[in-house]
Amino acid sequence: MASSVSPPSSRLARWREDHASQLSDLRRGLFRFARNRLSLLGLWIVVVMLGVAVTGSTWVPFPGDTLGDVHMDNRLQPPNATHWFGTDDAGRDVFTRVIVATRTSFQVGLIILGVAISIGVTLGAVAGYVGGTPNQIIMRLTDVMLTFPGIFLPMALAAALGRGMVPAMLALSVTWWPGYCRLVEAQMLKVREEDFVAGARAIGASQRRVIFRHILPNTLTAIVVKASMDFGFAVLALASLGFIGIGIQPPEPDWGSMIALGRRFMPGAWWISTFPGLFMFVMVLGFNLLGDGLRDLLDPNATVK
Amino acid sequence: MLLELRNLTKVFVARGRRQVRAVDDVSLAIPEGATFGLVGESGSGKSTLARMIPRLIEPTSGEIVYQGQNLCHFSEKQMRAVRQEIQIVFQNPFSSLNPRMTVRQLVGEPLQIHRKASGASLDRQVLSMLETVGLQPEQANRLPHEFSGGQRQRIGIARALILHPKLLILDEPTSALDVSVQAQVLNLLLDLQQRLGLTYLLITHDLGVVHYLCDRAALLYLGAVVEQGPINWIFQRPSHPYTRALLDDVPSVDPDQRMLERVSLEADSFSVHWGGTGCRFAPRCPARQVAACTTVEPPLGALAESEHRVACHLAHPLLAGESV
Amino acid sequence: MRELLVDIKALSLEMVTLDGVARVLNGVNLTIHRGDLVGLVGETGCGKSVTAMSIPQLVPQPPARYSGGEVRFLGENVLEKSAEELRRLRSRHIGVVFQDPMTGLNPVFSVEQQMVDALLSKQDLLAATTLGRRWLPSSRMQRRHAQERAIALLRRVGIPEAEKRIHAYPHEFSGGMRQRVLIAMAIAGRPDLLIADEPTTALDVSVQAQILRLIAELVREIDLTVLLITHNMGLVAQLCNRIAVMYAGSVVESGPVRRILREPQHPYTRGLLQAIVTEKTGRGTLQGVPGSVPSLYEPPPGCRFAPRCQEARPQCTAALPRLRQSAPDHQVACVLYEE
Repeated sequence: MASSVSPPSSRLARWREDHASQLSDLRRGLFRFARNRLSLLGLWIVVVMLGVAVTGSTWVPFPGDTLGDVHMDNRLQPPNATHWFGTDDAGRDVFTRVIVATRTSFQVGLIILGVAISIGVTLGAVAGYVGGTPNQIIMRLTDVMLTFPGIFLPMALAAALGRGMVPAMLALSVTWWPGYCRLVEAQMLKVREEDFVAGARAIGASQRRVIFRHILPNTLTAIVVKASMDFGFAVLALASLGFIGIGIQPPEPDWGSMIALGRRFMPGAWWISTFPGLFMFVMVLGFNLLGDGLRDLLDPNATVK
Repeated sequence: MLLELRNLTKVFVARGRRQVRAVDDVSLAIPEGATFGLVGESGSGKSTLARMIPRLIEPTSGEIVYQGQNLCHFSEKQMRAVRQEIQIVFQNPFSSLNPRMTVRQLVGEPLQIHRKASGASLDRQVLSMLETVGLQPEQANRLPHEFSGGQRQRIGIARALILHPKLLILDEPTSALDVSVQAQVLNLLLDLQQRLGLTYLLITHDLGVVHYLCDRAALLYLGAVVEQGPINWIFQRPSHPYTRALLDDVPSVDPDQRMLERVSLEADSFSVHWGGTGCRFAPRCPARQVAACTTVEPPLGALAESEHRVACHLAHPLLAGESV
Repeated sequence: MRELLVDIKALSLEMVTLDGVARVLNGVNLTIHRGDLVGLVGETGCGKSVTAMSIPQLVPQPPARYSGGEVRFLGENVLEKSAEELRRLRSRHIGVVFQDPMTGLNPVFSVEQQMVDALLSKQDLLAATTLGRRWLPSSRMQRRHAQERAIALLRRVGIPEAEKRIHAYPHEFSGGMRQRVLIAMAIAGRPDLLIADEPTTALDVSVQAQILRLIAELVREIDLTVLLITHNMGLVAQLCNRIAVMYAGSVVESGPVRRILREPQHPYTRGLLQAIVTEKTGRGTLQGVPGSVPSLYEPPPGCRFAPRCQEARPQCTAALPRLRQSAPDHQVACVLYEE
């Protein structure tokens, strides 16, 4: 309506006018999001964690402690002014190691989910749209993958590939997709039946257009919400591999291997395990809360609730 | 004839390999510029029939003859060209528009797909089409959920009309709308037909709407046409017991037309089983029945007025071999 | 004068949503006498269901919030009743039938289980016959007794082979049959009032006619009072003797069916009646009501119908017109009929 009064001057103004509806939806979504204190808390946690991950290595007090330094004279110190989270059995600063491990966790989490989502969404989309035999093949494979109890498959795979971060990441990535495949397939089956998909075909849209323009964007919310909630679990899975010793290898810091290490000194030197555990807990919690909030934010039809 | 359906049949295989004849040997012809009504209740196969015409659902057998060509033999590529001329307006204005596209994108998409226009020319066409269906150009950047049901149906119509189709299939275009809005949409459809010379195939269960818009109509029961003809004949001389029952069952706004005291159809088409032999309507038929009703399937035979056809033994006593 | 069953006075209700406060009801006035068949008509979002569901207090709070007025049922204000009193009111005095028969039935229990529980609950026997006491001889007798009554009720509402069908699950019934089951459950306790919320909207015309006939028979047989919520004037004309027309949260006109259908006064009622398409409507002569329903978040000032009204005058936007007597037994809320 503003156009009749004064023509938009800049490209930004024109863009804002063309996308007024999306912007107002976004504003409304943000409002809904902001009304929910828990999702705000989740966002806050994730942002702080991300900040720590990105900048952590530049300001930690003992960067050398993540690279292989040992200070046997300083081992098993309880938390104090120099070592906020105490030191471990090799005299390394637990605080430094926990902070630096945050970055590793984020990196690995992103890669795992990136790979898993690419595989899962592609397979799910094919299964959901094409149906028939391809669907049967893909979905039965997915079922088989999902019958393995949680960490078992990545564990076996990681062990076979050898120790270290890259094998662990690879193992988790290629076993993480079935959840997304299932989700996308189910969403596709649901969206495919909507009238607007028949409508797109009726105006002569190609299959590619129907999938990419009409079906997939409408499954996006579910994918983003699941990814957000999953991020924490991916980090947890990586830590689990570290815990049993086939994930990230010392001296590189990893929450899982730190907890495993500290277990030997429990309950006396409780700080070695407790602080990485606490960080992990907060991170998983943060992503879960954020995921809940994102659902409210992204649903285009949720104007009134 | 713009469109002719010849013995069109669709068999769905349900679970347990049970076959369901959703559309059973339907033949009808729609002249150019006419409005043809396809009337039926739920389960009559009317929506399946509508979606078979642009081959969104593949027919099991029969012919779809559009401007003299049998569409069943067309390749997917040829079909895409034909789909420019045959458009569908869907029943539910809430699910028939992609919730993530703006009105501009929705109405412009057909032009993009068929590479008919782009950039400023596309924009111009979209805005002028919005005006044609009674929407404001300022609303072009809005998303569907910001509109009321009636306005959404206008968007659906604009999207269907932008490729200048010849045939518009209207699948219950007003059944999800309130009465006051329904009137606006019906009048818009009449107006557009006059201005653009469109041919309509209207699918509905509302006999009032059929009478208001259509020139001819066919009544569908369990997938088959039971009565067909010019609208006046059907309303003034309904000859199939099903047609008569439907007309009787429309609750009139005149309290003196006592509908409740009349006895009409028993049960519904889901709970009454038709074994596949004889007349498909016989298990619910309130009329006096002859033996042939349960043994011989009545053909869709012409009455005295040759354009008025009905599939009922009682209307064709000679065919049934009995006197009524 | 017949007994006053329901008396809704100046009822206002707001819905608090994340987008703001929607003023759903604005001083609704509605009375129902025993034996009445009242049709409550209006378009989507006019507040007709919320008004009706306020009688058994079935409007979820929050998001809803009553902001004024009262709802009297047999003289008592239901807005002040306790949860237990309301449960009693719902199980003994008010039966409800919903638009989608599936919402009223639980898909995982057979019709028999649901009906028996409902019947026992109406007699306050449910707790005494379940919760570990199911196998006591007295419980089993009660349940068998309830089952017999359930079968009788199903037969009454026209379910063929009721003794066999009662063991079926809701999805094994067609829409019309489900609606019959719901009606059977709703009339089980011989309620004073039956609220039917768009009971036939999801059904075919022929099935709609059957359901309507069934309700009419029940009214004659068990002296039922009915509040029919619908957008279909034809249903009201055929079934009801009184009508109340709602627009954007207020009753704008009410009175006897014949009078209102023949001599509608409010411009909205007139518009609604003109918008109905029948076989007598000449092509191109159909008139709708221009425009669309106003936002409940920011309602227009004064009469809410004024922006769509062809007879609007300056004073229409000054204040919301009150529902006044315009003729004996005929109320209308419009400035055209004031003085």
